[in-house]
Amino acid sequence: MNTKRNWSDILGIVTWIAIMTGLYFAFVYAPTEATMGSIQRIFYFHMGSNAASLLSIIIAAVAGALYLRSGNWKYDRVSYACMELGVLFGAISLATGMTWARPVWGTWWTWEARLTSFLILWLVYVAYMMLRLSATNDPTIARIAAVFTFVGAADVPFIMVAPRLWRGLHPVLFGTNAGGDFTFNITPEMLTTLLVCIVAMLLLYLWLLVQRARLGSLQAQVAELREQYGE
Amino acid sequence: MPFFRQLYAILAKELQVEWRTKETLSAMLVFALLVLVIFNFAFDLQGVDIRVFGPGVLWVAFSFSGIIGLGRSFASERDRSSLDGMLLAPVDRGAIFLGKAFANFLFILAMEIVTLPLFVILFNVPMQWFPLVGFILMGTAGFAAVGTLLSAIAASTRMRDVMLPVLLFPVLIPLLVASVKLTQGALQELPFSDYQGWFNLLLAYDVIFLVIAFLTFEFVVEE
Repeated sequence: MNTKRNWSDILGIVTWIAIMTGLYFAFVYAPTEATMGSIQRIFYFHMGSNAASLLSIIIAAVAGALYLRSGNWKYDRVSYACMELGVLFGAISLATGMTWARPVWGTWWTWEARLTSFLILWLVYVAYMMLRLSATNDPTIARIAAVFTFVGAADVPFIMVAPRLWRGLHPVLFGTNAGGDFTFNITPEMLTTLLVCIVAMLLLYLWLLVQRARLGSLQAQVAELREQYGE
Repeated sequence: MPFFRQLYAILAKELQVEWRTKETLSAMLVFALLVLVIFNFAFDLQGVDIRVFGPGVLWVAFSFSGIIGLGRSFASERDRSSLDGMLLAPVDRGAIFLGKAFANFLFILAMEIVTLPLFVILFNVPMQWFPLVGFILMGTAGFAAVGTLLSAIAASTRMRDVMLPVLLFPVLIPLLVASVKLTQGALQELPFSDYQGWFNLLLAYDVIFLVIAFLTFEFVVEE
């Protein structure tokens, strides 16, 4: 227990350093983008949270499968924590994306393929949270939640492809931004910053995941003690 | 008992229960009709090309009404505790799933068989039956497969009636979009190559979700 604690503390410190470095790189080191201006800097954090959110469903499904195989609660807690972080990082990703889109595209939201895909994925995470919150009893909810992560993970390729096909049939062009693409001329400094920020966001994700899973295990211990001594 | 006999027994039981009361099916039909009528008022569809907007209306009616049937599929078993009896019987879990899913497929199909002509009449749709019927069958198959699994999931929760749409719709979006696009393509008599991507997507969705639902069903009903 104690060594585990130390390990997660070290991870926490490393994460803090990475986030600070990321902030320095994003706001000081990276040059200001020529056409978009400073708002482009939000992109560094947007990408990281985006990646973390996309990873969530896959890790959650793997952990869910391990739970079903072994019946070990540890995996269920990891799976739950992943989906919860999927909601959080998805929300960060959507919020930063919209903040960026307002000045650059001139609109908060557009039904562009990537945005649509991401919103649907986020809704899958939210649906999972609803499922968890309406739990009747523990072993049942862990099993059905694991099955739902499989369904969600299997849905990901379709969620990614469908809006692209949909947009392919009805191309929407807005502004002068080359069909609303995300691409811009990236300098080596920007690329370094992007990588640093993605690593920082993923570390933050990992640290939160460890903390959340630990919290889940403590909650289970408390529930067990309550049962033992009778509330 | 061999697998297919078990499957047949489950399916026959589902159909018999529904035949005796006809509760679910009649509720689905009335609901589908109401959706069509409400759409007519919500969006004034006079003067627009119904071959473009109609498919959306049709699939919203199909999916909303289908969810009513899917919701009853396991909720009724839980209410009467008959699921426990079925699980105690020496029956393969896969057979239970396929029997249930096939029964749901037939119920949704029965609702669609009535709703589709109503849609054609009420919205004055120039109908093209040939590929459309096949697309509707494909869309309904995937809908029934994933819907049956999530209905079993929703029935194990506290808010079962509310949970099913919340869980099902995010997962169902690709299927619905593909079905709407295929229906548009069929009604507008576009060449198949124009919407082949959607056809492949729907086919892949059907196969993948049927397999996943079949394989994972046992974890959902296990007590």
